[in-house]
Amino acid sequence: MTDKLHKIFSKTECPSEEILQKYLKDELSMEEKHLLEKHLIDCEICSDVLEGMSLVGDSKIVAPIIVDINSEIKSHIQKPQTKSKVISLNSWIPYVAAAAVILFIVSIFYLRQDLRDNKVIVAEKTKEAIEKETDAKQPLNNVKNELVETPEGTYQELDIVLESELQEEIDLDIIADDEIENAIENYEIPPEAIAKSASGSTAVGKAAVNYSFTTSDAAYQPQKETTDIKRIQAEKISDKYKDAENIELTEVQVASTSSKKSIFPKKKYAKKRKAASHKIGKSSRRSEAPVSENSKGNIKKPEISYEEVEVAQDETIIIADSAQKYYSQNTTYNLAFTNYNSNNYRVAVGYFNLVLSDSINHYNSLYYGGISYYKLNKNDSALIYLNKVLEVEKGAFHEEAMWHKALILKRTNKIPETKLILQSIINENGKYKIQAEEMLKKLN
Amino acid sequence: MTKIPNIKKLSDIELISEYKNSRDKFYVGELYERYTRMVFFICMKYHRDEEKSKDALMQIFEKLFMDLLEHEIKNFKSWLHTVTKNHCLIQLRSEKSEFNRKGKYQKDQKTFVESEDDLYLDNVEQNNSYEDKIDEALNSLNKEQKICVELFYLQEKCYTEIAEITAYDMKKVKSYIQNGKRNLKNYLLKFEKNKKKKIIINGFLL
Repeated sequence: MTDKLHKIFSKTECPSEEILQKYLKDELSMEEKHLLEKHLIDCEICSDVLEGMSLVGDSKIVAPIIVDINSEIKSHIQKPQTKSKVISLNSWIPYVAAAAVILFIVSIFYLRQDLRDNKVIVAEKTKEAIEKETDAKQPLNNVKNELVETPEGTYQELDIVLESELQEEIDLDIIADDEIENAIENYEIPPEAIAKSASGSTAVGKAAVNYSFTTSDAAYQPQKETTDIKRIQAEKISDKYKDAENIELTEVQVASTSSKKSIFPKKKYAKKRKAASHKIGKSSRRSEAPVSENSKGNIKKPEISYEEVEVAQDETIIIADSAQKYYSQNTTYNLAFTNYNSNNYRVAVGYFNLVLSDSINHYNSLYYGGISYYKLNKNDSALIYLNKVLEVEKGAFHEEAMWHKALILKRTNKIPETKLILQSIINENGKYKIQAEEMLKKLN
Repeated sequence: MTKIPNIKKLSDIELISEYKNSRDKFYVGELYERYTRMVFFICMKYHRDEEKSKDALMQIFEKLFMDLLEHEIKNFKSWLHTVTKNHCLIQLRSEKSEFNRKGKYQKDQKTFVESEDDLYLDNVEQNNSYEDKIDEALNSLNKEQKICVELFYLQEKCYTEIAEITAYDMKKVKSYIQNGKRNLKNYLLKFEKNKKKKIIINGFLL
């Protein structure tokens, strides 16, 4: 009896797919068939599978289908990297932090890379400047030799200029070989250079500043347009001073003005100035009296000064190379302004000084350079730059320069001077009038 | 946070447990890959179309992520079979143009309807109370069922042989065997129930 019960109700294990395939192909013995059929009666799963298999027919079709499906399944899932019992917010913090750190490092790397590229540009620029400076030194030394009999004051002034040039050459060597980033940050025009360019010849300063101002305004114009503007301006200047070659001037004046302008010499500038001075020299070797006056700073201006003539000459000659020059200058200026806007005044002032090395009276660079120095708490340098800005009558940044000058003077406890300039601001009735009045009240 | 040594060695239930703990889909993928062939063949049985079966296979897989979290599963294989079957049936019902096939399916269902019930008897060999009743149960079956059950279980013949001996249709043979076995089980369970009742009544009478 037990045997009968066992035979009817005993459980059997599910067969392999291979057995099922053999069953379908009728490759099993009668006994094997019986055992399988006995299982199939009790097992709905195997029964369904067998029926599905019988519908597929060729079992070889199934393998690629299953491979496809399994690969599709794998694309839906992610491999477990770790076995975590509970996914909490805390467990993500280290990953997020690590990702942030990596992102930060990568961004720093790229920023440095970018800076490095800029450095290379600056390095090339500084090296070029050194080469040009070296070239420019030769005519300068010649000029010095010619000045043996000139008044002592002029000679000493020239010595200072030469010393500063040599010092700058050394500085530039260091810049080119060592850290360029620092070079940019520390690239300073000696304050006396700015001051001299302002005080040495007012007319030159004004003419040059005016020129720089107009061209800098046109800096954002297309290159061709910029060149055209400059050409028109230069033509105007040339027309204005076309009779200037008849004016009596001395060699000392020529040497003096040339040397003062060659603080940041450019090869072309040096050559041009030399050419200009040579031309003018031919027709102007008469009186030494104005020389002594001029060298002392007590200038008795002729109606049309020699310096203006020289500017006119220079402007005309510069036109040929102006597009190229201003393209690179504007790139440097844009870099300067980008850093200025990012409150990175140390770097900004370096770039502004680079612009000024090309064009010492670049109005915008003088103003923003001055403000950068003000922000860096370099009051003396800031004052020199702003004074230069204030030389331009009705300049775009006149009021701002006045106000910042007042702030600097107040900062340096020069109260009487501060009051004077505040009073000027009030009298001018400009946009800083109210602030000036308030400050003046406090000072009083 | 330790790396799992060998995921292949984990049982179905362990994989489900890991998935429930970590919500990592990888465990579900591993689990499902063990049964893709089975699911595919079951889908083929109902859909009778390769592409539809493949689609159903992926749909069922995507359903698992939620279903595994919602259900307490003791036997994944049989649970997955039920899920697959239900999924296919729902799809078939939604296909209005498939009435004929549905009719065919329902016809087929009648043939295999017995297999849905558990035809095993637990602890058969230990249950001596059935020993005396098995012949009685066999005799209670109708003629066709008795012949087929005896040929199949006691004389261990396969369907083909039984069909040859009895001249019954193969499907009929299968049906007689399944229904005969079910009737035997019911008879024996009925007997067991009555026996328990008698014991209880006797207990009250005593």
